[in-house]
Formats: sequence, C-alpha cells, structure tokens
Amino acid sequence: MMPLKACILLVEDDPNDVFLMERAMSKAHLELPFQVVVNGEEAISYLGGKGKFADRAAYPLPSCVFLDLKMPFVNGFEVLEWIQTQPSLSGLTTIVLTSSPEERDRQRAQQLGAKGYVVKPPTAQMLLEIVAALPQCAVR
Amino acid sequence: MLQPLANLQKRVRELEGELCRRKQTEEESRRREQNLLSIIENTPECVKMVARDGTLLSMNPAGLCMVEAGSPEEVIGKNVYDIIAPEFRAAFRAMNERVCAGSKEQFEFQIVGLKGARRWVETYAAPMVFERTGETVQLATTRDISERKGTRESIALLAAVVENSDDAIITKNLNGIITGWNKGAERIFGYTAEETIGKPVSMLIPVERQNEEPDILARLRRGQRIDHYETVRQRKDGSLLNISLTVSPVRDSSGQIIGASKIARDITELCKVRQALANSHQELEERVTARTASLSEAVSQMEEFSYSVSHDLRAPVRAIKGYTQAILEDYSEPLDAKAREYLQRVLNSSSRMEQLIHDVLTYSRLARSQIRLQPVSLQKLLPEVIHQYPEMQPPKAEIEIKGPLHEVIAHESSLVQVVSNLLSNGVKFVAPGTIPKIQVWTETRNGSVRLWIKDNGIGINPKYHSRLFSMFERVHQDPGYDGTGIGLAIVRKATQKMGGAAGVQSDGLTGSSFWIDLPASHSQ
Repeated sequence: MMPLKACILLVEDDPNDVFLMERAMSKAHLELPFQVVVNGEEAISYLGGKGKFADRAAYPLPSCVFLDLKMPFVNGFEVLEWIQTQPSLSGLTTIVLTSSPEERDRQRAQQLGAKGYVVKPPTAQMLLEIVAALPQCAVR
Repeated sequence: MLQPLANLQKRVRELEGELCRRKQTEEESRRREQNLLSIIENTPECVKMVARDGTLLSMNPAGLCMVEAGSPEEVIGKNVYDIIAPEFRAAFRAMNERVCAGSKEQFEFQIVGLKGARRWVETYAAPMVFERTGETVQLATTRDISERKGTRESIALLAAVVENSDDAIITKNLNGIITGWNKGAERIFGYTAEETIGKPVSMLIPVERQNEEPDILARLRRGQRIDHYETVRQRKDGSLLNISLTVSPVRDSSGQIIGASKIARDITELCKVRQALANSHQELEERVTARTASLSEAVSQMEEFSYSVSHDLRAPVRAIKGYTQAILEDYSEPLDAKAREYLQRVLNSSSRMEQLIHDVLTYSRLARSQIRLQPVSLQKLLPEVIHQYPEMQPPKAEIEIKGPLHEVIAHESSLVQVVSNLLSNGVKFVAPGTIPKIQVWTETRNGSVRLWIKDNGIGINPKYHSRLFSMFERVHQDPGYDGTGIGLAIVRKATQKMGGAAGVQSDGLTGSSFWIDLPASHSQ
C-alpha cells in the first residue's frame, strides 16, 4: 500500500468555490499538492484508484479531503458513507466544506466520520488550523 | 155461692200469673233491646236512620265520629243531605227515597265531615218502620272505604301509566309467552294485544337474533335484570327497529319468579342520530387527516425550500463577494478611488445579502423547529455570548452584568440567539463617537424571570414600538444603522416558542431597555 502523502483533494462542483478555496490556500501560504474532482462519483473513483486515477504519481492518494455536500449524482454524504466502508482509507481525514449551516447536516456529517465541518467560504485562518491538525502535514 | 168465689179466686190467680209472665216478657224484651242498643253503640261502623225527607233520626257514636260531629245534637234532627259530597247528593236522595219506598240498596259515595274531611264510604240500606211515627225510614250501616278506594285508584293510575306510556311495556311468562301488551307496544310494533297475548315473544325478534331470547330467559330465571340492552326487533310489517330493552323478573307474593316485564324503547331515531354523528366524526377525522397531510407536505416543502436557499442562494452571493474581494486585493493599483468605492459598495451589499439569507433562515428554522425546554443559567450563558463577539467587549463596548442572574426555563440555543441579537442591537445603535454601555439584570415576577438589557443608544420613538418586533421592520433610516429587520422578529418568535414574551421601553432619546420574560426555573 502506498504511504499517504500530504496532499489535499477538493471535491467541489462549483468552480467559483474552487477559486475561493485556491485563494484561501494561497493566502494561507499552503503549498500543498492540490487536486480537484467535480462530483461524488469522481471522488470515489479517485480515492479508489479507478481508471485514470490508478496513476498515483499523477493522482496521489490524499491525506485530507475537503468535501462539498450538495453535488449532482453522488452527494457528499454518500461519499462519506463509501469512505467508511474502505479499510484502506481509514487514515484519511475528511472535512465537510458546505454552504449549509444546518445542524442536521453537521450532525449527519459527524456520524458519517467527518473530522471537521466548515461553512463556506473557507478562510486562510480556517485552513491553517485544519492543516495544523493533520498528522502528515505537521512535519512539513 | 162457693162456686162463684172459687171461680173468682181462680181468675185472680190466673191474672196474677199472666201479669207475672207479662212482666217477665217485658223484662226480657227490655233486656234484649238493651243488648241491641249496646251492639249498635259499640259497632265500629256507622248505623243511622234517615227519614224520607232526609232528616237524620238517629246515629251511633261511630257514625258521629265519621261525620266529625262532637255531639249528637250537631247532626241529629238536621238534614243528612248536607254532609253528602255535592256531586253524590242527588243520587243519595234518590237512593233514600227508593229505600223508604221499600227497596234495599247498596251505594258508594263521598261524604264531607263537619270539619271538612272527605272520605269514601259504602252504605247498605234497608227500609224500616219508625215506631214513633209509623212511617217507613231508611236504616243504614255505612263503612269508611277510603283506604281501599285509594289502593284501587293508585292501581288504576298505574294501569293508566302503563297503558299510556310511550314505551312498549310487555309482560311474558318464563316460557317466553306474551301475557301483557300495552298501547305503546301496539304503537311501536304494530300488533294489537289480541294478536300477541298468548304468542311467543320470539315473534318480535328477527331471525338472525333468535338466539338472544333463550339467553334473556336464562338470565331472568336466575333473577337477573337486563338493563338498557340495545338490540333490533321486527315490526308487524317486517321492518326492523332499534330498541333499548330493560327486562326485569316479576315475582308473585311468595317471591317466586313467574315471568318478566319488558320495557322497550324505540331508539331508531337515536341510532340514526348517533350514526350521523359517527359519520360526521369520521368525516371530520378524514378531513383533519387530509389537512394534516397537506400541511405537513407544505411544511416539508418549506423545509426543502429553506434548505435549498441555504445552499443555492448563498453560492452566487459568496462568489460575488469573493471575486470583488479578490479584485480589491489584487488589482487595487490600476483602479481609481471611485472604482474602489463602487467595488466596496458591491462588497457591502453582498455582505448584507448574506446576512439577510442567514437571518431569514434562522427565523424559519426557529419557527418550524420543535424545541425542548430545560433550566438554563443566564449567569453562565451571557458571558459566553459576549465572549463570541469582539464588538461587545472592551474597548469597543462595556457590558455590565448586574448579577446574580436568575435561572430560566428555555431552549439554550434559541436563548443564545435571542440574547446575542439584543446585545448586538445594543452595541450597534449608538450615536457616533459614543462607546456603547449596556446593563443587564434580571427580576422575578409571578413565576417568571424578566431579563433587562438597557443600552445608552439612540433610543426608539415610542410610536414605533408596536412595529419593532415585526419581520423586516426597521425603525432607523440612517444608513449608518444597518440591520436586516429580522433580528427582533427572531427575538419575539423565539421567546414566544419558549413560553415567554419580549418588549421594549424607550422614550426615543435616552437609550432603550429591552426585556424578555421567560418561565423561572426552580431547580436552583
């Protein structure tokens, strides 16, 4: 099994939110490898190494996933459920990044194993706190 | 010479003997008369003699007592017709005249005593020659039958009650054979007494209920009574009717059960009304269910709407805000002051839009949520709220908590919302250059706690107080005091949901004092 690299996967269907995430990352001076997939189905393919994602040199397995909840086809909760069934992903940190401040969403995310819950837009401060808590990144 | 003397002497002896015999006879008849008089005097019934014209010739003590006379003089020699009840007087007179003409009579009538008491009497009268005048008079014995009459009348009354009852009253023997049938039964079932008496009561029972009768008879034999048993019976014309049946055992004078009385009440109408009631109840239930379903559908649609609002409406606002911020940060140099000001306005407006969406969502979430109330410590909660907002802390503002604050019954997160809205308003609406100073304290009143939040702000004109807590109402026009107009609507909604209230006191010049009432907690 490949060791987890300090890499971040962003699962986000809205390019504007991708832009805001990238901007927050650069403001936080986080120079981490950064991958984006645009829906839940693609996220599962990426994490499972299916198709083109089998190439782990191009698509390294991330240590942290920022996951939007509301996405077409396969939503964020379904991705969290799937991750829970994958023993090889037990070391993966999942952070929900959503528009929803709803308590029911926060609770459900937590039940499905999300380590964090962030309401959009992300800020540099927010990202620094999260990344500082990631074991693989602390040694950076 | 001797012979005539001897004859004379013999005659004298004979006369003496005769005299003696006569004396004896006279003595005997006087004694007999005495006996008869004594019997008459002492008999418990009235014995009297009445002349043809109605004059009372004699009356014994029992008679005097019956007519309420204190002494014989009050009635004897007077006309007896006066003590006969008026409605019987003519008949009595006719009877008296018939007797005096030689007839024997029996007669029932009423008398009215000298003191006014009415009683039923029965008289047996016979003609008799009155010695003193030689004319034929009436000799009568009369007895008081008031008691017997009373019993007979009450029996007649009961019979009339039974006969005229609206309910069917039927008697039957222990073999279920009908022995009595009143008018009510005739009216309800359509059979006459002649058609039913002697026939089995099962003739009234529809085929599918024939098994009821043996059970009823068995219970009757055990001496049980059947009360208000609702069942169905059949009329003569075959139509069915709903009845309420009460069946009681009937016993003879020795206590032996010899049959039963059945009282059947026609409750067909009642049953119809009941059925109608049940139908309308059912209909109402169905309507309530349907309405509830459509309501909960509306609620869930509303929830879906709010949920999409929180996701979909926010995304474009976030993008507008994000890109504007990026331009201001990254391309500040090539832009002139005016362009930067415009962009700042875009930024402010989108922030306001974001806040509006946030507040509307908070309000709708609050309005539809089920909250659970429990004791909450204001003493703990207030500093926590203040800690979250830098604008409520020195040097920007001074908030003084005049504790200890009473504990309340509330929903904690709703209360946090309420308190932070009120404190935010307090620090926001101050005159330029003034440092907001807020005082917080509680007081108890009739089982509830009033939390006061008093500021040194610009105040609120009393004429706007009633509108202050409504949705989207803003009472300050100055653009410096921006708000969404939802904050106080949230305060009111939340306090109402927690069983409390909210209000304000302000003269419009020297600050405002907002208050909320909540139930006091007694667990402290």
